[in-house]
Amino acid sequence: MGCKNVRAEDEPAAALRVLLVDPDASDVGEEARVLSQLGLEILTATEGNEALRLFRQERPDVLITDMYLPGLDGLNLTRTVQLESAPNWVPVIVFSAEGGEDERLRALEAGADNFLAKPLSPRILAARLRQFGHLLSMQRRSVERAQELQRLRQQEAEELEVARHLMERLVNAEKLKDPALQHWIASNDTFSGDLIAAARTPTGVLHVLLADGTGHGLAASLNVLPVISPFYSMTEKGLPLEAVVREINRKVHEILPRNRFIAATLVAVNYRERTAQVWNGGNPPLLLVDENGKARFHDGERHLALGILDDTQFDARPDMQSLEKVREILCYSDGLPEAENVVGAAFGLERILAASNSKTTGSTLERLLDAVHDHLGESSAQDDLSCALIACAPEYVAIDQVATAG
Amino acid sequence: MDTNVSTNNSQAVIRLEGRFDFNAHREFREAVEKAMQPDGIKDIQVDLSKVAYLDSSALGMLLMLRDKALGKGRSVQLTNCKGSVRQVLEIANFGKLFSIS
Repeated sequence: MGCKNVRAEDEPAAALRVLLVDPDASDVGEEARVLSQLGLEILTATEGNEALRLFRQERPDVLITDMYLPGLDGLNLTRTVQLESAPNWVPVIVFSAEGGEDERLRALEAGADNFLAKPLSPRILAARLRQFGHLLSMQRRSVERAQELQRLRQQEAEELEVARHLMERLVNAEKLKDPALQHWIASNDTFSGDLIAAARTPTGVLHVLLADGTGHGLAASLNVLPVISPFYSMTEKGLPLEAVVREINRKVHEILPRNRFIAATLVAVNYRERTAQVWNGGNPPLLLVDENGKARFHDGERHLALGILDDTQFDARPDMQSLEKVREILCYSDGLPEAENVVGAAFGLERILAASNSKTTGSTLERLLDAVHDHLGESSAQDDLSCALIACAPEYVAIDQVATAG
Repeated sequence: MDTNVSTNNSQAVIRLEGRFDFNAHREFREAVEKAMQPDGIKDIQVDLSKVAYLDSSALGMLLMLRDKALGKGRSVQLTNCKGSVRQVLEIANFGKLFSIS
């Protein structure tokens, strides 16, 4: 190469490692000197097999080779290098003193990215290498991004697994085995924003909570956590439902951000006195099923969801409900009436009532779930969806029976 | 969701169109900022006539709007609530917080 000084604009973008192969030992020295001036790290070889050995050992970024080499020739060297480097791309420049169309074509077909005539022009070479530098750094970045994405996915999966485990423990699923309770929760996500909790007071009153946090997934699931511990601890102490509701609201109001709240239904069933207390904040109306299997909506007071009002504005007084003519109480989240089928029709309150009234076999909950599944068909529910069916018959009074039922 | 804000003397109207859900945070916040900005505004109407769907995140956004408005002594009305939108507002019992028509 007849070389002048190389100007700054001719410098390649990144410090590339280049393997330079030229059978003429004096040429290779001169060429290497020029390339070093470009800030490149240069490895040299004068023979094909030696070049391949060096390539395998040093993994340079770019190969620049004469077309005609003793041993393995330049074209076979190119093919082997491309094959062994896949799926990564190694830019190859093939050069030759004979620069006819045939030579060019054979070089390109062998996998060269560029063909240059000998003697090599330092400025053309610098421009080419700069281009390769850009492309290689893009390739490197995209590989790094893919690896980073993979790493994040794995980390997320691990975190979700820990969160899921914690959530299950906190939710205390054991206590849901109360024989008076049947329940069902469906979620599109690993995490449900709906929560069902149940526990007995020391005198056997059954407290049931069905909560639905704003949003979906883990965030919604975290939202409902503050309700769990006051519900269990206050029930265990035998405190009345009103006190439980008030405390949960206070806690939710204190902890959650202003645009988050929890729709909740709380029910207390006193099997000895044959009465129930119901508090509904932001959930759809409960259903009462009488001893003949006839269902009707509970028309009690409707409140705002938990966490919206501060303690001074909040009304925690539950409705009183005689259980003389009530066999079951059904509560559910808004995901049930809002479940849309493929044509966008919501399941709706009327279908809930009809399914609960139906005379076909199975429990009220089973009939309801069958009806929802029939309605949804190919579609899947958009929201978390939950139902709790509470049996109110006097035989569920015995706490001993409860304790051994699990 | 698309938003459109118009102000007229003491009243600002935020018209919403499309699905008012957790994806609409940015659009809604920008519309609220625009509606809250002029000095003489006394009441803010949120026109829901063209909203096809509204979820609990949207209810949360309405709560935020109410907080901001009350802080400046302004009232918020939800207008033209129909069908499933009205039903969601009713189930949430938002009539206790907003005037709904």
